[in-house]
Amino acid sequence: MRIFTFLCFISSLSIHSVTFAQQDSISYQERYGLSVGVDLNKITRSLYDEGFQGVQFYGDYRINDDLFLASELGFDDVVFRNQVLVNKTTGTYLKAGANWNVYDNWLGMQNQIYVGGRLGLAQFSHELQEYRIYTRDNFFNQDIRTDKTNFDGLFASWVEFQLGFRVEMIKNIFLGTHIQFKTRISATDITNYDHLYIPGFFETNDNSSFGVGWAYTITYLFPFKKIEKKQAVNN
Amino acid sequence: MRKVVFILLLVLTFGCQRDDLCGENFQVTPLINIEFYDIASPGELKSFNNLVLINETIGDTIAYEGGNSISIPLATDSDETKYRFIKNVGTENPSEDRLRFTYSRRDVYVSRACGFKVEFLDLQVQVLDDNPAEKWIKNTDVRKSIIQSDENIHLFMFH
Repeated sequence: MRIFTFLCFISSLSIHSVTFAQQDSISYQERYGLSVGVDLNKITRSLYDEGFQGVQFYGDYRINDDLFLASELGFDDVVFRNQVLVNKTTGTYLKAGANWNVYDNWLGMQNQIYVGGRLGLAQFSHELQEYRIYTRDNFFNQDIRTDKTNFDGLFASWVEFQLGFRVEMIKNIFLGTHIQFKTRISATDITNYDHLYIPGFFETNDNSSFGVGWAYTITYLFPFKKIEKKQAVNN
Repeated sequence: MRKVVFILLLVLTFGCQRDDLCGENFQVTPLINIEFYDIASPGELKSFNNLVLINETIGDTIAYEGGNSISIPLATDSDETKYRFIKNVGTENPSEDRLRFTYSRRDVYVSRACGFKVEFLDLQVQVLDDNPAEKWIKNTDVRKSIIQSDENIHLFMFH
């Protein structure tokens, strides 16, 4: 919380839209428009993690004071590897929903602490690249199968709750982060295998349909219109 | 704020259990369970003494001092497994039979941490011996021709 306040303070240094029009009120401009951005976490992970290639674009459109239509569009190409199998999942996803800003800004500032809701849809395929036959006795040598098996044309959907904040660092440029809690609605049944990873949903869990995730996003705001606002000042 | 964090922790704790370990509760590749019965009185279990099994492919052994049941692995990379069954090892009259287990196989997905297991289908057992009169395993009876679980007895042997 203190970090957020600090970031807001830094951010306030870069805002110059507050003007003193009259002595009994302050007028300032609220910017409305389209924000677009990318997830920095996925870009950096693509650089250092050999088993990961991914990108996520973000966009939102401001409807009123607190409500933003928001959407993420992404691509994942992820290798999951553990002691018994190697799986590669490739696919695209779309999340659509809205963010609700619950933070009361200082005058003229457009930072956010928000809660968001999304419907997530993913289209993807798995390639089972290698697996080991699991035995508890280990009497025989390890039996490793390397015939690749493909599972194509898969589809999944989920609902997602987001909790995050974003702060204006330079005029119209925002940095933000959020965490995601999600629950799966549907996924294509696959015979004799399972979804170990779903693009946009992240890793699945054998025991439940819940998932978690996060993003670290930089966005640019294209202000389409500016609305003049006035706030009374107590002298 | 503290309440929110508490609820989130609660959700994380109970919503996501560890699934990166292949726990004992998962049925992985089963062993074949064999019980030994008396050929003179087929309804009664009959113990063996100092039984040693030698796998013909890898040469490794499994040894039992005594008992009337054994659980042994079948090869998952082949449609047959051959063991030499030698009883009374270390005594004056050891006796050896060769057994061939033949089957077909299917790979079955278990879980993220266990990966795949093999199930054995159409189990057949042959006692190979040049001289039938010298067989110590007189007869076999496949009780379950599909080996999916460790919990069943799959084969009776009579001696």
